[in-house]
Formats: sequence, structure tokens, C-alpha cells
Amino acid sequence: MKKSKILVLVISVFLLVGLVAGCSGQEASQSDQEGDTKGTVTVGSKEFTEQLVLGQMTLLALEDAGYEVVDNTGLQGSNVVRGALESGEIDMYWEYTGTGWISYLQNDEPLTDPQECFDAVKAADAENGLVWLDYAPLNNTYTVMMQQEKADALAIKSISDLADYSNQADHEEIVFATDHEFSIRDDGLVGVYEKYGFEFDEVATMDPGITYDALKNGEVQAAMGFATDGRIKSFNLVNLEDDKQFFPVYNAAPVIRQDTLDQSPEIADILAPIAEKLDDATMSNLNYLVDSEHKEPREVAETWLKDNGFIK
Amino acid sequence: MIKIKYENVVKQFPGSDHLAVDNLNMEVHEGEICILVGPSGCGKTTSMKMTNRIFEHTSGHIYIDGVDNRDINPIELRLGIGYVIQEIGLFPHMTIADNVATVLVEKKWPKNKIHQRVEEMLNLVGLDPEIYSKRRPSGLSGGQRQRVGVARALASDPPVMLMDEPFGAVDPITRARLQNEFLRLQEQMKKTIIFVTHDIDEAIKMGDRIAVMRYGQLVQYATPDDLLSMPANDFVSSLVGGNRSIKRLNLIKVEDIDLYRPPEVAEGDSKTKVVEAVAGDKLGVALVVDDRGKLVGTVTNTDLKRKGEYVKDIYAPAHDLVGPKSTLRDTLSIMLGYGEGYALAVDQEGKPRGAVSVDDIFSAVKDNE
Amino acid sequence: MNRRNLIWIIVSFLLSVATIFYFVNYPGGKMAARLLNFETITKAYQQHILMVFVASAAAIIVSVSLGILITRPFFSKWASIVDNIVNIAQTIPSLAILALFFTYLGRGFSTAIFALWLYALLPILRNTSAGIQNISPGIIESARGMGMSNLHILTRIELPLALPVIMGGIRTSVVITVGAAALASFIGAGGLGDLIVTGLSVSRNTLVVAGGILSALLAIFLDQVLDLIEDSLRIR
Repeated sequence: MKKSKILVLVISVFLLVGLVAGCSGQEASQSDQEGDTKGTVTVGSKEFTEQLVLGQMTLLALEDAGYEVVDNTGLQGSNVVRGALESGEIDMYWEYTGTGWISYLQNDEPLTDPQECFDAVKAADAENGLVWLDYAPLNNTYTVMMQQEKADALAIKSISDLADYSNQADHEEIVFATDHEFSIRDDGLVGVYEKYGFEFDEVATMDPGITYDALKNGEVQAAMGFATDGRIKSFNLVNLEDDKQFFPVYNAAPVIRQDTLDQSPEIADILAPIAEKLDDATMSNLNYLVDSEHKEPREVAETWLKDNGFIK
Repeated sequence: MIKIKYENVVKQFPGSDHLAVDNLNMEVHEGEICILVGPSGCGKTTSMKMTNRIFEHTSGHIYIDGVDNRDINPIELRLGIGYVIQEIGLFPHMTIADNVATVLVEKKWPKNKIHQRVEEMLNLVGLDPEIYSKRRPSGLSGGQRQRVGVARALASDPPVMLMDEPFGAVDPITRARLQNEFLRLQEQMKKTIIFVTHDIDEAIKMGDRIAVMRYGQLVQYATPDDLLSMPANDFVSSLVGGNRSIKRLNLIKVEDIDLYRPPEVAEGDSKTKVVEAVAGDKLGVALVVDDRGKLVGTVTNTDLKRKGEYVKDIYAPAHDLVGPKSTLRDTLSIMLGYGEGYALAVDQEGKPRGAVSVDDIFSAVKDNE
Repeated sequence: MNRRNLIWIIVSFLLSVATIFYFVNYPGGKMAARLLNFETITKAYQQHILMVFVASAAAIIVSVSLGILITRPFFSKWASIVDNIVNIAQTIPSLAILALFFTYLGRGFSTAIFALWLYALLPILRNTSAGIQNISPGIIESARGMGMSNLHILTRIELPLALPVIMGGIRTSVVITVGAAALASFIGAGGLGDLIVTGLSVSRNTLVVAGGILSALLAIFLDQVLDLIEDSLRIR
């Protein structure tokens, strides 16, 4: 209750600032248009790896298409980036549908269908002068993971498979690693149990950062994580399919200011095929290259775009 | 008989450029108290502690009963040597009884024997076992702690004792009493004792032989008498100090002089008898003894003024008596303390031996010189 | 028997029971009730106590032995080295120690115990060596002079005299361990930390308060029990 009030206050302040800044922004883009055929686009992002990679991809793709770009990636925190977009300080960034739905549009009940959630935020944000472009399959939500080898051996592909296995009388013990929040929330472990009709033999609660290690080292047989984390690939883990669509969806989609899009409608067409290619495994791999191989986000983005023929 | 012999003993502490003990040669006779005296840092304590190998000497030999002490296991060696150090080193967490029993426990005496022995030792040093054996050292006065320290060192009846300023931490009056008691004990025990002190008066009073040390070297090793009359050099002279006649008082004991015997009366005697006795005495005093012959009090002219038919009704109880081993110096202090012209001496059973007057002390000092 | 200790022991015990009953009855919502029930709390409590007990017991054994060892003349040159190593271990935040050991030992109970053990060493080690070193040299010397063997000097003189100081170290260490054990929740070792950390992560204050109160009461309880043990060990 109190929290949402603060949120409203913060957003109102941002909107107010945005209104003032917006005017000057419009002036700036108008003058840009005069000097340049394709105009300037400022791209933002949040501060974590995946966002940095997505931001660089956007910058590279637009540059390739002949736009002047300004790199404003790595902003601290979702609210700051969103505020920057609303104020026109940035023209676009990648946001997650679930975040838009719950945080910015102030809904309490999470949505679990990707299309439904996307449609909902797209419709709602249209009133804010923001456009959600086509979303990527990559869904950075909670995931239930297993070791690839183990999952293959037991022929487990989805959470339903895992539930079936766990409900067998003679199954091997399955210990599940989870962080504290997931362990207790309705839309966390408790919900999984209800939706899929099973329970783990034992639950080990720990810091979210170490569930991956615990699973890799075989100290637990299943673990919660975030679907596009780089460690999933590097630790040879696998996301079990949420076949009953229990987890709220957090598909990534480029969000762009309506005025920017009006000036350069081509941007939507440039980004659509890229988004289409970005699934969990791909994103996890890209994150892995940055996190574990210590490559630069720009280098990773560039390589991937080139490999897939999006840029020359 | 030579009990302990130091032969060319040298001690140099690691990291030090001078010798703590520099070529000590000395023989300690059986049954004697050998006093090591000198200013602090002179090597007296070090010499003592090398005897039971608390410190290991750098070179030379220390023989005990003709055996090099390095050929004896240190634990064995120490179990056979009584040890009393400065500040006594009583174990604060143990009862007095356990403290006294320390060496006996190490020697694995049976429990009942230990118990019996501890009581005996406490009685010996004048502490009632009933009262004190369950107490802790913190519940004792300084003087009582010193007694416990002595009792503990004596418990296993070791032939040799090492004592490092055992009576250091108490007031002068208590010290004098402890010294006297210890000399009385030594009279019977005949231990061979190495006794460290920095107090020349204590040295003269307690020692059969005195070793004066300075800068790690033995300056003079002599009987107290010789030390006083023939100091080897200026250092010894200055250590012994000016008032040598007064110091000599420490050398002469009550038993060494002829005592005048005042008349004796019994408790039950009539007043008339005692009036006669007092009148006929040159000191104007009659000694009152009980039926076992112990001195219980005195009657002087002042007492005769009291009302009463018998001696027991009028006599003044005896106080601060001297014993045969008391020095004339102690005797003199008692006299001065009471403002009387004499002090009364008793023997070990408490029977009167006589009176020491100021004149006696004067003439004794004169004779002795 | 010390009455003040006894009162604290009883009071902290009763307060713990009361706390449990209160929060089980008023968990403050459905979500918090998933942890605030007898079964879960009992399990968390057991895990917590077991961690503290095993880590402390191991730390006592190692630290007291080490403390004795470095006060022997033979090992005295090692004293500062050992002291420094343990000192450095103490300066690392307990969470970092947990994280460090997680990397090598994996999640769970044994890692937590190992980290807590390492963390519990210093106060006991320091007090053991200080307790022994602070004994008046005259006492040790007179023991030696009377022919006590080194072993007897240790067992009959040094340890009994240093005991109050050593016990002080053990008490400090146990109290620290009770607190640090709450952090073990981060590496999946359970304990009362589960209540606190979960409560923080989902903003359920009843969980945080319940976990906090219970571990604080546990620290008081154990501290007083140890004080009582110290009293009875000391020869009167």
C-alpha cells in the first residue's frame, strides 16, 4: 500500500520532469531532422549484463541502418530507465513485459501468457506515448532447472515431467534449491506445487546467486533460477519447460517513444527479426560470454548480429 | 659435612653481555643457613635458582651430596628441595591444605598420610588446621601466607631448602616473629638452607654463614661475626653499615647471656608472700607461674595495690616474652615498647628463664667486642 | 549455584516458548504462516542449535589446544603467527567466509559449520593464551620449584587459573556464533536465519522479528548456561 504510493509519487515526479524535458527533446529532434536524413536515436538500458547486451545490439543495428546513435546504456534501476524514457532523455530501451505490467502499470496479479501480457502492456502504455515493439521469445522469469545430463537420463523436459517423476514411488530423492523469496511466495514454490501437483522431497533455501552452483555440483537435483542467466549454459544446466504456464512472463521487448517511432517507423522493422531470434538459450549464451568469458557486451552483441546476418 | 658445593659456577643469560653469576665457588655446610645477600642484580637469586635448576648454569658444577645436580632429573631434584620464593607463590585456586600438600601429591603419597601430614605442618607453623585448611590464600593475612609457604616447602621434609626473601612481604613486627619461629624450627630440623635476602639485618640474624655478593661475584663468605668484625672490603663495610654494635645485637641471643632470675610465686600463694618477694627483688618484680611451672604473669608494686587475697587475684598477665633464640635486638625493642627496664625470657615450654635488663644488653655487647 | 544465571536461563527459555506460541498464533498473514508454525520453527531451531553446538565444540577443542600449545616455551615463537592468522580470519566478514567456503565445500550444513568454526576460534584462542600468560610467573615458578612436572603445572595450575578467562572467551564465541549462524541461511544450511532472510526478502516483519528474537534469546540462554558451567567448574 505504502510502497505503491511512493511509486506513484516517484512516477509523477518523473512525468513532471519528463514533460518539461520532453519539450526541449522535441525541439532537439526537430533540429536533428533538419541536419540529418535519418535522425538521432538515444538508446538506454538497465545495468545488468543482459540489458547491456540488448542495448548494444540495438545501437549496432541502428547504426548499421544509418542512424546517428547515442549510447546511454547502463542506467541504475528500472525506475530510472523508465523515467528517462518517459522524459525523452532516451528514445528507447528493452523492457520486460512482466515488469511493465506489475511495476509501471501497477497491476497486482501477474500474467502468465506471453501474448496476453504483451498485448496488455502495449495497450496500456499507448496512452503514455510509448510503443512496445514485437517481443522476443526470451523470457527472463523464474525457472526450474536441472542438470542437462540428469534431465536427459530421467527424460524430464518440463515441470510436468518432473512432477510425474517425483510422484513415482521409487524415485531418486530430489532436493530443490531456492532463494528465500521464491520459497515462500504464492507465485513461487507454493504455486508450483499447487499447479503441478507434486512436492520436492526436500527444499534447501539459500542465496539466489548460489542455486546454480549447488545444482552444478550435484548438491541438489533441481533448482530455481532466472531463465536467461549465463550460468545455465556454462554449468550445463537446462530450464524445464513451464508447460502449464505458471510463472509470470517477463519477455523482453523494445519500448520506444511514439514520437521517435513516428519519425523513424523503420526502426520497428529493423528490430523485429532480431527480437524473434532471441530465445532463452540464445540469451543465456550471450550472458555467459560476458559473465564467464569476460567479453565486452558490445563485442558479444556485434558478433552475434554478424553471425546471424543482421549487420555487415 | 659439605652439603652443597658450587664450583666455578657461571651464569650468562641469553642475550645478555655480562655474567649474572661470575665464577661462584662456595660450600654450604649441612644443617646450616647460608644467606646470600647483596644489592639487587648481584646474582644472589640466580645463584639460588641454579641449585634446583630453575635456571641452568652456563658452566661449572653444583654438587649436592657430592652429586652433580645436572646428573639428577630436574623433577627428582626439585622434589627433594624445599622451595619458598618471594611473594610465596601460593596457588590462589587451591585451599591451604591443597597448597601444603603440593609436593606430597607430586610424590604420590597416600591420601590419608597426606591429610595427616598437612595438619602436622600447619600446626608446626602455628596455623590451626581446623580453621585454615579449607581456606584459600586470599583469606589469609600476609604473615599467615608466609607461614603456609614455609609449611608447604617443609611438608615432604626435604633436607635442603631454598628460600628467596620468604619473609619479605610483611611488616617488620610480623617479620621478626616469623624469623624467630623459623629459627626455632630450624633448631630442631637442622635443614641445609640457602636463604636469599637484601636485608643485612636479616642476614646477620638468620645466617650461620653469609655470602655477600656483588656484580655476580662472591665478595665475602663468612660467619656473621667475622663479617661484622672483619669486612673484606669497603663494599662489605658499607653494606654492613655504621651501627655495627647495634647490628651485633642481632648476633647475640638470649640464651647466650647469663640471666638474672627474679623470685617466683605460684598463682595460689597469698598476697603477703608476694609482697615480700617483690620488696626483696632488685627489679621489684615477682614471676607468677601456674601449677605446671609456666609463666603466666608478673606482680609489681603497682599490682600490689589491687585488692585480693591471693596472687591469682592481683597479678598482671604476661605479654611479649622473649625466648632463648630471641636476639638481644628483639629483646631491646620489646623493652622499649613497654617502657620497662627488663624483658622476661621463657624457655620452649614457657617456663621462666629469667629477666634481661638493659644493663645485661650493654655488658653483653661489650664482652662480645 | 548462581541464582542470577538460573533466573536468566528460565526467563530466556520461557520467553522463547512464548515467542513461538505468539507468532504461531499471530503469524501476520498466510505467507508468513508457512514458516511460522511449530514444525518449521522447531526444525529451524534444531538446525541452529546443532550448528552452534558443533561449531563451538570444535572451536573449543582446537582453540584451547592451540592456546595451550602457543603458551609452551617451545612454541612461543609461533604464538604471534598463529595469533595473526586467526586474527585475519576474524576480520573477514562472516558472510564472506560463508561465501568463500561455499565455493570449495558446497552448500549446506558442513560448510556452515566449518565457516562458523573458523569464526569462533579467535575469542577462545586469544583468551586461552592470555589467561595462561597472565598467571603470575611466581606461581608457575614456585610450582616448578617444588618439582611439579610440566603436565601437572598445566593441568593443576595453569588451566584451573586460566579457566575463568577461557570460559569468557567461549561465551563470547558462542554468542557470536549464534548470531553468525543466522547467516548460514544464505548457503542453504537452514536455521533461524531462514525466518529472518525470508522475512526480509518478502517484507514480512513477523518473520524477521520472530527469527531475531529467538536467536537473541538463544544467545542469552547459552551465555548464561556457560556462566553456570564455569561456576561449577571453578573449585570453591
